Amino acid sequence: MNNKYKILKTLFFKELKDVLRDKKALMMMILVPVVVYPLILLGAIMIVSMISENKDTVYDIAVYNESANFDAGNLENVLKENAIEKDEEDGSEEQLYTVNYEVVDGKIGEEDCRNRIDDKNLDVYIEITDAGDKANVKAFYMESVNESSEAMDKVRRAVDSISDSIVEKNVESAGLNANDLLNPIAFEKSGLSSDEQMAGLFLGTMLPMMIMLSILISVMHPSIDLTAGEKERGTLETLLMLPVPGKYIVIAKIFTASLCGVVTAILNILAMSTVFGVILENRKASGLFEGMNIELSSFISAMLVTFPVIIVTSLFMSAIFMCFTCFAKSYKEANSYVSPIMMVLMFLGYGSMIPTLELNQYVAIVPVLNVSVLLRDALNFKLNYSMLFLTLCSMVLYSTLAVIFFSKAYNSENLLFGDGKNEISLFEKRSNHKKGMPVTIGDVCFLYPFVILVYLLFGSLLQLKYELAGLFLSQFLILVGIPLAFFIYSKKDIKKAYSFNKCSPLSFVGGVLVGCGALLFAMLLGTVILKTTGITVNQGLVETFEKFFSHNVIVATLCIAGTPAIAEEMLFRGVVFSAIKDKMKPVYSVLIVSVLFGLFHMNLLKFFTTGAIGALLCLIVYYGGSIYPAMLAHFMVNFLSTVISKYGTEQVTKILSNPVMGIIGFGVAIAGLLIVKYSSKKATI
Amino acid sequence: MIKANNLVKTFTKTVQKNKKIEFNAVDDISFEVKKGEIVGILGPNGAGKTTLLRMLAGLMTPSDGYVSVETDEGEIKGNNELKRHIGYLSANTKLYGRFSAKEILKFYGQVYGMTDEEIDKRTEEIVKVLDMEKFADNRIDKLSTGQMQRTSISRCLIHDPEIYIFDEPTLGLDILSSSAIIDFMKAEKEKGKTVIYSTHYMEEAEYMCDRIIMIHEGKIVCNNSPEDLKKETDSHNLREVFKKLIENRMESAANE
Repeated sequence: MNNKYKILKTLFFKELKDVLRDKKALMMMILVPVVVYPLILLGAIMIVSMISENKDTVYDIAVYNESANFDAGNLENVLKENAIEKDEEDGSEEQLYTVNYEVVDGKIGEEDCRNRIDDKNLDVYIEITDAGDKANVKAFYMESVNESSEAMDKVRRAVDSISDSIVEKNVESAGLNANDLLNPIAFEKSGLSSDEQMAGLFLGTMLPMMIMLSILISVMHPSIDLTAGEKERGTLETLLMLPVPGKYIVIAKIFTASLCGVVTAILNILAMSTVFGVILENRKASGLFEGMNIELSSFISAMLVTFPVIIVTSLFMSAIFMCFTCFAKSYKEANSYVSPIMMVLMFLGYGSMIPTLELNQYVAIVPVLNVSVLLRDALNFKLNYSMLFLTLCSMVLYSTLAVIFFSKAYNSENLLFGDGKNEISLFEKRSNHKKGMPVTIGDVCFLYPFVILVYLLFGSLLQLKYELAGLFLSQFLILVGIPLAFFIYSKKDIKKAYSFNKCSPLSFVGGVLVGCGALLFAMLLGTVILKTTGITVNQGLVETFEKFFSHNVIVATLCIAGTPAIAEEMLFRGVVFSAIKDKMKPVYSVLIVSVLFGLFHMNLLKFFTTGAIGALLCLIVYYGGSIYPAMLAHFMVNFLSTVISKYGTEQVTKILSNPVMGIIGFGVAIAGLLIVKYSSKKATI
Repeated sequence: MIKANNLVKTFTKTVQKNKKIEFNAVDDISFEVKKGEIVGILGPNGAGKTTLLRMLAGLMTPSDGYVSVETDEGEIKGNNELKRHIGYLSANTKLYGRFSAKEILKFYGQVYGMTDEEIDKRTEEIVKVLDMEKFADNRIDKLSTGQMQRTSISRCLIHDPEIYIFDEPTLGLDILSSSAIIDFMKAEKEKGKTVIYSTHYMEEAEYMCDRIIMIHEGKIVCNNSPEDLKKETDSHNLREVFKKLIENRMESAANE
């Protein structure tokens, strides 16, 4: 055991050293996130502040006045007054921009006007004529010239205010209150968002995308270098001379590339925070977050979420890249393989910029998009812990699948020594499989993430569409069908894989007891977690559950209780447990099965409750040697919980979640297990 | 002692579009090489030499048959176990350019499970024997071809294997560099090590080898000492032996 880690460590440090001595990789890892991105951000802000007007901006306005009703001098005064901002607190004045006002003697033609705007010695030309008693102000400008249209806005505002004051004067001379008449409704808006929330909104759109991008760029180079680059330089054969299993080499490579991603992302965040801090310090000059009072400590929870997100994203991206780059024979070739993937990942990473995209249970299982949106939600103080859990789980599952694929591909001789037109087969040819082999841990490593992801993607869709039939289909087709098809293909010993062994009738009694006890214990556990942490069950789940009951109640209950009892038992206490039980201490194997079973429910509260139930169910198989009593126990759990949630009053639920009942339940479950153990011993004798 | 037991390696080859045929690059080859013996594997290009040596070294898994090594601890099989007892080197094996020779030795030593003291001691010995003092701390991509080749040899010495498998180790080297390798192999033989190597240089093979195994299209053509081979085929040197035997094979194949 110790030796394994030592070898892994050696391999890992060698790869790391190799990457760190590569100047190209270092540039991507350090220079880009630390220097380039902050510069881009600063540059963007500078451009914004350059575009926005300052006291050096001069607006040239030419006026030709032939109206007797209009006081051109008044216009000049208003324009110049508007250019000065008075601070109401200390009375200081600030010049926002300068107006260069010129009265011309003759009309300026349109063509001439256009030329002068193009030459930048005019922005707006105003022609004032009389139309009866009214003054007709006609302003010429060029919409396509920035300064010209800005000057136009100033003129418009000035003319409006002059017009208002004329109205005011007229109204007052008629003996009415001008203010009441002109503003019949008083409107006042009041923003409720805290300053931190406003800053979070800004950061939430920018930062996730930047982090995704920096991980992407930083991971790409080592991913290519450690696979295709190694092949190109001819060191691969040398490396393979080492007496270590290929998967070690694969793991060391993926970890190295992931670490680069993690380091870059952290550096990026640090650099960005510094820039953000600088902007905050100079918020007046930059115009961003002006007048806001931002407490940086309120972003700590977001930072804490960011950390696991960075790790899973780096892992995922490097694994995905390596899955493709290992097919390439040179750096150049690998680059062309990686480009389209990079496009897709970048596109997904931009998810945070779509404000309407919500992190629901579907978005949470789309890789990269989910973490991007999750980070945004964290920065917007809208983090949902169930979704966080689902997102991280699905990313880990995808990464596992990618690592397994990469490992298979990398260890294929065809790929390592092949002459070019190489192909790899994920599964060995059927004829090469020996008959009746047990299921291995490797099989489970591949089957579990694959089955769970398929179940997450299609299972819930099936259930939404076909309701009860969908539940039945999704459980049997995906949870049972996929592993079974694999076992038949690879000629596994199916009876052994599912622990389809005979058992005595007495063990079923034990199964019923364990089922009832486990439910009571899980209810207690659920109540405790709910009260201490406030985590609840996903609302979506409750709604689908309700839908099932629109059919025949008895059929629905039997289906909800029976389908998972068979399908889930076959997958977890069957396939998973039988693969690992002989390879490690029973404590660990039961623990692993219960963790995997808990994860399958994709909900933080349910993780603990179903995990506990899963452990007890697993013990039935461990002591009894047969899966049938576990199926019955699982049926009891589901049946009772369905009946309670459907027909149980609040009173009943309250009594059942009482700590005493929970402890009694635990005792009953243990008694059930003892019966199972006793009856199986008797059967073997 | 290393033993090849009915080794077969099957590859698929794409002949035309969508048409694949299977062929045996190595076809039922068995032989053994004793302690203190140098055996040369000869054959024309594409005869299956590299595939055979890769299987012997545990780099490739045979489609059928197996390789076994007999040591003091008994018979050893399985790729990763084989690798512990074998030092393999080919013209294709390059080294990590961003490391120094000493770093490479340390890395390989650690993976072979040696302690730091063992590694240091062994490194010192190797550097002395191969005369690498001048460049052992330089980055490998700064070395000359001969220096690189010596570093490559040092890499397969670090775990002190009983068996050396060299796939065309002298390919493309100048006389000085190649004679350094030849001298090294001779010296290891004196120490009782087993050496299996392939080459296209007949004079070198004649001078070096206790036994010659010629293969053609995946099958053994002959397996004997150079002297006996010359007598059998009534030739003056190994070059003639090679020509006669292989041409014979080709003719009989054409006649069939």
